[in-house]
Amino acid sequence: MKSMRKLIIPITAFSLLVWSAYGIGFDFVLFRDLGNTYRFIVTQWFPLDLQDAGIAIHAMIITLQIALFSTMVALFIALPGSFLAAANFTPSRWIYNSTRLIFNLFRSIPELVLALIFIPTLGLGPMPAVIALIVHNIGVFGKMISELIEAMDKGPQEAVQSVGGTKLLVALYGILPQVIPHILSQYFYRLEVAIRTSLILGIVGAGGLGQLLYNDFKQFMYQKVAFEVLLIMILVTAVDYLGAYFRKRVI
Amino acid sequence: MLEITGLTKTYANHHEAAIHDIDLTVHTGEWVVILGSSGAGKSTLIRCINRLVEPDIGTILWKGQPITGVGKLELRRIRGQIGMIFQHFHLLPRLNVLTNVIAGKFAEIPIWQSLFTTFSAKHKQLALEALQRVGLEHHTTDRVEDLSGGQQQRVAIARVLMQKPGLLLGDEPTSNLDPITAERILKLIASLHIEQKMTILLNLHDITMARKYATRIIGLARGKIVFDGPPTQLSAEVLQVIYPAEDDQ
Repeated sequence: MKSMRKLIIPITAFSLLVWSAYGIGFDFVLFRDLGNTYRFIVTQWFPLDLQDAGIAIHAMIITLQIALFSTMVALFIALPGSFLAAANFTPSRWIYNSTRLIFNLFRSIPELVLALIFIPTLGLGPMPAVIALIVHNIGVFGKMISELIEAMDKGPQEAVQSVGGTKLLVALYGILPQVIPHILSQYFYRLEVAIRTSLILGIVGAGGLGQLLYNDFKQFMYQKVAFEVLLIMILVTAVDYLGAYFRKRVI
Repeated sequence: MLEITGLTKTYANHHEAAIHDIDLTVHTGEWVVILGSSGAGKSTLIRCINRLVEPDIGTILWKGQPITGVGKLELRRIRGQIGMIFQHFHLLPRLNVLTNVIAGKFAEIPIWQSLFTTFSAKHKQLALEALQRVGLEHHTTDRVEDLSGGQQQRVAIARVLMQKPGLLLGDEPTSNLDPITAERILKLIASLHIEQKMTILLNLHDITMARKYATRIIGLARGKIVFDGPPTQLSAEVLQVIYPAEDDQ
């Protein structure tokens, strides 16, 4: 009986894997034409077309700016909000529940949908994408930071209370110094995700590299696409290195 | 004088009260050590005094002013006058030693100063003097995590000195230190007891140290006071009452 129970989890996991494989029509036979992709890349993507390199680099900077601006604004809004959504700090159950609800709501709406519904107001260009990213990231940062606050060591908080500090000082001196390194490392991860999301939002005209990539793809200009993909890889790697550098400096 | 009457605290999800109907009067200048096995309610009793733990019933008076039943503003003012040290030191992480000591004055520092960590020269000077007293004046800019356990507890004591409190509470302040460092910390507290005429109320688990430093011992078992007397009366029979054998519980 006991050995049976041990097998339940692996069997369930395996059944789910098979079930979803059927659903998506997964079949190894499909890969017999892998050579097609190879030939497609080798013959159509190379050599890189650097004629519009200036435009592509400019678009890359716009992409970075979209991601930077929206994640920074989102963090700035979510940080105070997450104190209200942390069970150990919130002034009341009612405020706790409503901030949590707002964060969950913000996270649950797909960014693509958010961008689409803001196009009638803000027109094409980066702004609808920026709003979509801000809203989504408020939800993500809010959930993440409030859970961090709940998990932090109570000691420093008690210390501030014991000397007669206000609740604001408990937050500033008892909690914030502990959560900052965690927030920083999560921030750089979210920045990287925002870069990739803004590329997808290029499909709905959000500007930046995403839109350029989408347009060039539709016009079969694969040698330009290749250069743009290279820029994306450089950008994401650079952000990753920058994050590692800051983490080392702060922690 | 600290006057505790009828103090009771039961934690949520617990059947038994952590402390039950405690009456205790501590006179100015006394050094009281509370002994008891883990779970006896020592920590709860100490923490109820500055209301880090909110008691259910009972009153606490310090110098005739009530601590229980007062509003937030008044509670913060009273907390400013009561020092507290902890087993795990409870320093503010990632901040330097000087800031940690200045924190002792949080109850009276204007909000804009503590918001932007721009403390006045007067407070910095007071903090430096407190650090000189505990022998850490050369560590003002060090981060507290970089200090040893004994040094961290001395920073916590300097933070208390900054408050100039009449009463010092301690929740097992030496349990996290090696025996030699623990004794040094107790010696430091002993000198403050005399110099600053501080009334002291500590939990300790080291009976030898309790005998050596306390002027009065309180024995706590299952949330009730089972012994109250000078260290000389702490006989083997009394210790059996304070630390009952496991199967009696």
